[in-house]
Amino acid sequence: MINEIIRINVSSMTHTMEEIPEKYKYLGGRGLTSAIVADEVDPKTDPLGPGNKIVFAPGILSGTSAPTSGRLSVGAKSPMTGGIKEANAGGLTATRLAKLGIKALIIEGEPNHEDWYHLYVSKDKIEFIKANEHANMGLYELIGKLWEKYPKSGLVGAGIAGQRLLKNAGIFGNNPENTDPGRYAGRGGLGAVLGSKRIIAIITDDDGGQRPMPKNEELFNTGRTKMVNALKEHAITGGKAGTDEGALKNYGTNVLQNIINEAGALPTKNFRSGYFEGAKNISGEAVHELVDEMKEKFGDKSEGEYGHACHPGCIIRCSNTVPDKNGKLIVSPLEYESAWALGTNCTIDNLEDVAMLNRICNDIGIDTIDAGNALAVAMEAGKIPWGDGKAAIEFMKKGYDPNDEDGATFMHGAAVAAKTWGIDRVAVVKGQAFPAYDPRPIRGIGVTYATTTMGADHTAGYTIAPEILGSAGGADPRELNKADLSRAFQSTTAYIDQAGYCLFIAFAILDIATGMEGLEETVAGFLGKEKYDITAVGNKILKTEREFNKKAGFTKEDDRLPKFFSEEKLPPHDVTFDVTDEELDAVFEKM
Amino acid sequence: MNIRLKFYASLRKHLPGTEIGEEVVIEIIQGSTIKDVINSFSITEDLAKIIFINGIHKNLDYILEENDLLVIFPPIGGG
Ligand code: SF4
Repeated sequence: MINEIIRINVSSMTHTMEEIPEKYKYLGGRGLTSAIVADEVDPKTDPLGPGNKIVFAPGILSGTSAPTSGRLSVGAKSPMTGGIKEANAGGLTATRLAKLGIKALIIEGEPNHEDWYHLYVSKDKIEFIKANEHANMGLYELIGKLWEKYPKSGLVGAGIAGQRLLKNAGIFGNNPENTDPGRYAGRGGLGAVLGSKRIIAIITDDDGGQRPMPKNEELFNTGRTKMVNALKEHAITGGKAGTDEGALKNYGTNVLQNIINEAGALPTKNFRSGYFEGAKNISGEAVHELVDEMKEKFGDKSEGEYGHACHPGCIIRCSNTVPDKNGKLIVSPLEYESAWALGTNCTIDNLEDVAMLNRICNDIGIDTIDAGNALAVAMEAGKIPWGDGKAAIEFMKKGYDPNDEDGATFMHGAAVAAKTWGIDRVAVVKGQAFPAYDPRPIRGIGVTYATTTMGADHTAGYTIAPEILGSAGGADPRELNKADLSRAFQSTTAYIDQAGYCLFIAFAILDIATGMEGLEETVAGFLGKEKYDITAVGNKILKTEREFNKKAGFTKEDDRLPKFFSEEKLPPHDVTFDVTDEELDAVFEKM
Repeated sequence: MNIRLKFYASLRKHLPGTEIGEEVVIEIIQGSTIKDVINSFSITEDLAKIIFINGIHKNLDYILEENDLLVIFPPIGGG
């Protein structure tokens, strides 16, 4: 197999292999998943019906020696937003697929049976394996069992929530050590799409596979060196774990907990305040200290860690493992968005409780951001007391019981939970819940939430980098004209997602010009093109996605934030979201 | 005059013994800038990357006022 598309048909339980068609030759990752979904899925189709397809595609550079490039894109029509969706994650599967020469794995059709299956993909065979005994099993147990039989395999799939077709079901992925199923392509309910095909896990084994080789080695290597140097040199992406240098290696993404709080933009108690007194207790610094403490106490026996890589070949290594008081793994990773959603947004400031809530999300197969917003909605509805971590844990465990109505409602995500429980206050765009930045004091990220094709999503156009973190020369967070900034970030992000790079390379390449050159040169060199323009290619991906959403029935009115963001002032800075509708519309109108 | 001060992440070592996010009151000379404060802690300018005065971004030349809350982060990122 080389440069192939594998098509799995769950109606006939067969597969075909196709050589990658000319029109997809220069695509990968998000570019490829979105192109295939746009070409083959009717935008009006039922996301959980026979017409939807789910596509897994490694990035263009996944499996190569380009640093931090092993990301997997998963695409389909989203059951949560009703629009197109791409979610991406680290883990093992992208590099495994790439080494098997598989550019995309498409799962399509409608099962005409009641059984559950795993899909096993290797150099010599692709087969369905009956897996009824693994249905409704917690994912920590499942990945352990699968590795006993298929050691070192990449695993992605649908957990309990996905198997029950609940809208906040993510696609889980095992981490390189197989200690946690927490490498999620979490957002938008893609786990439910896989569940509708009655597939639990996709097991990839790259034994006998080969590293994909660039067409123009010289250009690729030049770009690669520039990228490695930029990532090593930059204070955010470089440094060394356990030293003063290297923000991501030492504190992970959750270093943002304190800074967004100090900026007065940390959404607290379901977006009632921008400041949370307890933020410091669940911050990246707190995890760092806990890891050090447990290492001191238990030495190498402690499973706590920072500076962890979520996939082979990541040199940024922002991931971590949160230990309990005995040094045993609670969850890996605990990221900023998750700690915020399950902690701050519910006013829970006990680190162990927050880590445990994240573990349950990972175990039952749901996205943490929407889960945290849904928990806050449950608190609004009086089902759990605000700030009560233990009660939240008990509530979330209802998700294991297939007969528990609250558990099922919760696992549909915040929008459905709010509707079902009669709560008006819910922070969603296109049915998908907000991430960890209040858009009232930080306007650019609000423009991204409103306009991205994905539903409220920070990664789609991470303007926080200039607005708060001072990247790319900085930008005033209160400035209202943010269409250009958001568009530029959305476009570059689409390119990065297509390349298979992790979005966090952005910190280095925005500040270091040669790093940005390295991005284009590695991609162009791999593909054997002279140039592969970042903005043009990024825009094309966005247009394909936007077109799909339009045909699915989205209008300008879907590119708006919930009303309370423009009406209710957010303390401590007492600001509202004042960006005009015209400015929001300009993101795509002026593209 | 007095200002309130918080250092985060790798800068916290300059305020030994403080908890994460703990506020420290320091006395400074009237008319001091943020640059003067970081110099007094021997923190280099490239490390004082993100600076808030009362929750609003400021740069090193800002002249501090009585009871200002000065919060400094080194270069950090996430998402
Ligand atoms: S920077 Fe973090 S999220 Fe990105 S690839 Fe590396 S470990 Fe994974």
